[in-house]
Amino acid sequence: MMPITLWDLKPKIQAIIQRIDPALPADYQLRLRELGFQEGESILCVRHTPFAGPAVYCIGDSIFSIAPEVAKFVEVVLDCEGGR
Amino acid sequence: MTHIPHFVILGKPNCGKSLLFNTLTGMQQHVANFPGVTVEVRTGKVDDWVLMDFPGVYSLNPLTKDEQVAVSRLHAKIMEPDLAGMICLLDATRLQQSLVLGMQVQREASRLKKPLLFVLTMMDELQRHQQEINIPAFAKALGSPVLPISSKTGAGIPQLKEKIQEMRTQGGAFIPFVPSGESDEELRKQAKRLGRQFGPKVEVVLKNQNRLDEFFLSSLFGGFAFVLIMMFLFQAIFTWSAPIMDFVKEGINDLGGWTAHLLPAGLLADFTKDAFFGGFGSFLTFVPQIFILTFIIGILEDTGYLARAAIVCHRPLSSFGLSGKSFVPMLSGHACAIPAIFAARTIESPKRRILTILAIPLMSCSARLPVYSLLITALIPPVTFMGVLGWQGIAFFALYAFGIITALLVTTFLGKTSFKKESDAPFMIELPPYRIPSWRPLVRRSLDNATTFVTKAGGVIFTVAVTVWILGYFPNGEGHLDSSWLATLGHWIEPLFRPIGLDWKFGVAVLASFVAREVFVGTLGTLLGIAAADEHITDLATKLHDMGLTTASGAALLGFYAIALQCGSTMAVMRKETGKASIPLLAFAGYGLLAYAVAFVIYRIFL
Repeated sequence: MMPITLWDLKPKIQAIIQRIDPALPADYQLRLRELGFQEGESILCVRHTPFAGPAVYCIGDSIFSIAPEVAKFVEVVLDCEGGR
Repeated sequence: MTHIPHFVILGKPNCGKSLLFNTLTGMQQHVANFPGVTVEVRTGKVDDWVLMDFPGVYSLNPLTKDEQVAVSRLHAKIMEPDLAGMICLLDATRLQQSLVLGMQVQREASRLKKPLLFVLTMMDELQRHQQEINIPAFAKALGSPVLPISSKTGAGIPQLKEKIQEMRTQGGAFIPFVPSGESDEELRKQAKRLGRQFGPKVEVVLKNQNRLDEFFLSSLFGGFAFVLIMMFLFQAIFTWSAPIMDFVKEGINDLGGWTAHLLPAGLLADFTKDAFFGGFGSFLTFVPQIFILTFIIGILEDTGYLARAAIVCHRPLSSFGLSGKSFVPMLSGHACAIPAIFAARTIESPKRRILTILAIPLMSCSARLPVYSLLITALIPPVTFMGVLGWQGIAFFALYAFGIITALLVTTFLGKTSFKKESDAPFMIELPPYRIPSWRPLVRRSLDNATTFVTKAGGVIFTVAVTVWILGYFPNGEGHLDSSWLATLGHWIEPLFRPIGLDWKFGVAVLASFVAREVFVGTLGTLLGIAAADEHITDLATKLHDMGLTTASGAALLGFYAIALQCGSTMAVMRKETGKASIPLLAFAGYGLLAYAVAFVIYRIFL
């Protein structure tokens, strides 16, 4: 499956994180990983918000909101077995 | 010399640390602030030991300047010999996420041979979801003692105190062992494994949160709820705090008058009533508003709603270099800049926080209203347009809009120039669960903010107020403002006001209003022979109209007041919250020049 970015993930669709683009500053990458956005991790797009604002994602046991300028650096592939 | 044992309490944000700290320490607390950052370290006494509450962090790898300060203070404290142990909180409903920090803390405790106790919080919420954690098995897998508590119900608190006493006497039993050289990535894997193995079912604990977010983050209902909540906030700080502020102001005035009555008439009585008590009144009247605003924003934050509001506002505001969390402080600035600047502490990014603090003085605050009322009444007849819209109302709206637009342009410009390299943080926030707030930490925080304002900013404000009084009193005493040193200054700076069609009297009123903007009306009234002009604005407006105040000059003065930073209190708080005297001074000079330039242009346009 072709990877897409986290920002492209539609609401209620589950995906698997492929990688974090190294172009994202290293300290941002580390923080993402510490929040659970790691390669191989399953992630669910909960919703997008009005005015193309930060989207909401469920990963692990927490829910986060990530702005598009960060979400576009996270590559994911759709999880065909998942989707809620 | 007996060392008092210290314990540090740490955990990720929203894990219940503040509530636990308040429960254990009660009123015996002290708050240490660090200049320029929102980092607060609270210290409180419990029995015969001391507890230190560090700010919530997700990791010991800091991202922003604030986090750097918090983590470096924590490292420094851990190294001190009086540190008897560390208490790391884990949110039982977010175990996997909590363990990311928990494992890092455990590694540090092992490396430095410090006792460590893990405390599982939110156990009452876990039970409400009919979930449970096998504590003995979890503690064994974790390799450290674990104690479940609920700060809200008080369950487990006596046992926690006993455990802490045990840590003092049998510290060795609490020192964890973590193989040296374990990387952060390995620790994160362990956190994930332990969280999945022992944590509650995710879909159960997140169910209610998702349901509420369907409402609060939806375009239609969420937007409607947002507007209603912001109207409530605005009403509370604008209207509801007004009677309390008036009560404080009148109380101080009455006390000043009564005290002055005991003294022989003359300089001492005048100084006591107007400078000493007037000076105190000039900042003490803000205390109720600061308390109420901090309290209500605290409710928004602790219920989890503020994070949702920040998401809704983020995209529009980030285009201007601001954050979604800038909305509430900027809205609050329409009531008063002082509590609004305190409210900017919720913004994690240091760059966006400073830009928000710089934007706040451009919001048309309530102190500007008497000036706006006076000039609009003097210049614009009370005529309606199409039988519904009044030109005076439109003028008010235009002034509010002008302030907001100017603020957004200023932050856009500064964000790309002077503050381009300032430490920033990406918008990556956790949506905390919706919770009913605990009132004690909220009241505590509100009191602390109000106290900090009085102790840190009060001195500067008092000094400015007394200085302006001295300039307006001497050399000829009360009732001779027109021949005072302030009037002399007004004559000196008259050449600055002539290009916009104003004379020295307006210069004196502008100078006097640097203590508080609303003083402009009273001062101008005194110079033009209208007593208690703040209560007789129409009379003063009529006088100005009869004097021939032109539309051009009046509009220019409105433009000046909409932008100029004429509030000593605001500058004092800006200095305190940014940690730099240069920021309020540059804001004062920059906005002053901009205000003058705008006034000049407006004058030329309307001439």
